[in-house]
Amino acid sequence: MEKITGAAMLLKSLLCQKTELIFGYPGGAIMPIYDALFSYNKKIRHILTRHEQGAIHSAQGYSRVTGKTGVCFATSGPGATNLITGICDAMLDSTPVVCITGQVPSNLLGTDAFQEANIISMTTSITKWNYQITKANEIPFVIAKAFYIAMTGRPGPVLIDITKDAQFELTEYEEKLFSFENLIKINNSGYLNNISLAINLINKAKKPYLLVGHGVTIAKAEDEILKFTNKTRIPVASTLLGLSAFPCNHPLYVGMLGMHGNYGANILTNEADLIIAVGMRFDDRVTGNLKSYAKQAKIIHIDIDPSEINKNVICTVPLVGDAKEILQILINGVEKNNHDNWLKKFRECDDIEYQEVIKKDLEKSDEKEIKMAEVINLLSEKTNGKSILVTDVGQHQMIAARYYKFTNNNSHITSGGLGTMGFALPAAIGAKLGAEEREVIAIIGDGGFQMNIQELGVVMQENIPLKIIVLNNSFLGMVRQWQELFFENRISSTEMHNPNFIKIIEGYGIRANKAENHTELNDYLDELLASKESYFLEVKVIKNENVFPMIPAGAGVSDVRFS
Amino acid sequence: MNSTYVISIIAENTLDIFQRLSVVFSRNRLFINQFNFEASKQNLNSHFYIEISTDEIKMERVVKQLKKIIELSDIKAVHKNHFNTNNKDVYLCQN
Repeated sequence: MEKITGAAMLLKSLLCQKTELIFGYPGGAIMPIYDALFSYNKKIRHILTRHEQGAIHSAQGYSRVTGKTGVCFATSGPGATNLITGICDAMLDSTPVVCITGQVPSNLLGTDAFQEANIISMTTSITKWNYQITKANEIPFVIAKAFYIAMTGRPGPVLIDITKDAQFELTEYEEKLFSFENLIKINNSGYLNNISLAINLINKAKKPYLLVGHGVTIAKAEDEILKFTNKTRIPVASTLLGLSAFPCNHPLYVGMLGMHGNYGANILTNEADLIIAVGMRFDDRVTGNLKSYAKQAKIIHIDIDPSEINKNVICTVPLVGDAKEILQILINGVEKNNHDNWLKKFRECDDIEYQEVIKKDLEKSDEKEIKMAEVINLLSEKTNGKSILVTDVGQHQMIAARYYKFTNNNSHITSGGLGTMGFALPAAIGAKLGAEEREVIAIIGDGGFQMNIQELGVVMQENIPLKIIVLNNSFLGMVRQWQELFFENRISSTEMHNPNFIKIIEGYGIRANKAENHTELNDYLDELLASKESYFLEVKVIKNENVFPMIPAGAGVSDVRFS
Repeated sequence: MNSTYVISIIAENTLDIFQRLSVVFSRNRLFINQFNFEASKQNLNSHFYIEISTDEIKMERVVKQLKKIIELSDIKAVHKNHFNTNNKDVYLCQN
């Protein structure tokens, strides 16, 4: 049998997993793998990012739009540690990513060798699994296991660290299929005992309320959610990561939950008699103060991860398993119904929210100043809510979530759990490479844009037709908002003196424009959407705008502020 | 109300199994009162007995998080008063 290097074996193993695209950055301890990659460049496309954080966020964006496992490479030491934020982000947002890191030769492990970092220890608590390979013959099995773990059950990141000597080592290779059936125990039938209980509660409820989370998108259960709601006529709200799992123009859609969510969607949580939570984890941004969260309601919690059950909110009926399968059973069991009076309450709240917030957000003042909501609302209208939006973290993220009316599934990508500034640009690059046929638009604030601005080099080098909109208010806006509201307006280190973004973008050979009034905004948005190439639009927005409604941290979902 | 529990774990005897277990306790800010470990004769599996004092909700959460460790093959948690060290017969008190 022919002998090949561990590095070549890694690439063969990745091909066995149908890997087509890798994001990465080379360095000393991973050079044998990059050398082997040279021979595989017709089968595997490698995207040279400008920073390892860019590599993992791109892999996340790719994974989120394709549903496949994202793959990234980094060298040892700083290369590996630069992945850490992205790994943690992928863990919190349940994104399957396999990170391959080079490591110093095994005889140098533990000696503080050049670029040696104990990445296994560092990532133990933020990966589903990690493993250090020191022998080439381990590679096929470990890589297959890594992909299985990343994708099975609740998805998440896996890190495989490969010592340099293992990458060089010559070993016999034979393509094998590995089985990991019992590795992750998923109780696929555990929910069956509770199904009739759940159906009974749903049929009897007078004010039922369906909460849709990211798990619906991961399970590809969007059609089932539609069928379920069309039959039961239960009002539907979405978490931040659940956005686009249910069409925003559906008559039963009542809005987004959470700190900056919709008024009715939040306060009526405390009036519902039954909450059906699908693929969401009752995050503190959604529940506010748990002591006053939905105490009157019975709760059916559908989630594939048993550790989420009763973690934050004690549920009446747990249904642990795949959301798609469970919903299919529920659809057959529940009765046709309608809850028009209950739905009317949400619409009454919508009217209040419109008068208190939305009208002001969308109203054009006589002045030239542009509001963030105006940008997103216009973009939503011009695209019919059909684009993939990749947002960063901060005010613009909340405004995009509130005002973009998603009509296509799997169209909202953001850093929800970790709240990673700098996420959007590289994640949008990955998303565009994963969904070339769709319009991908990155919406970023001026702060987050400068956290991974170097990834514009990837857009340039790979000629990626990505659309980028930076909402520039020359502030770290969300922090400034909190300083104004909760820290006696002591504006501490949040004002930004920004560079000339247009000149920077032009330096990357990307077409760029800056909108400073309503007419320019309209015209440049048309140009951006018509462009077949990458396009950057900076929008100068009002400096001191705040995002409302808002539930202050630690307050209950009923304690909504409009100003 | 805090009680003392013994968590019995059988896990694959890998290099980093101690760390995988310990991060679950540290992130939940749980002190370990006692920690006993024995490897199987073939050295493939390790058997851990970990004693902690906490309330039932936190204990349940920790057990669920421990169950997510890939190398873990079995876990049982029991109130210390019910723990029999002679036959190591522990009751599964949380699913």
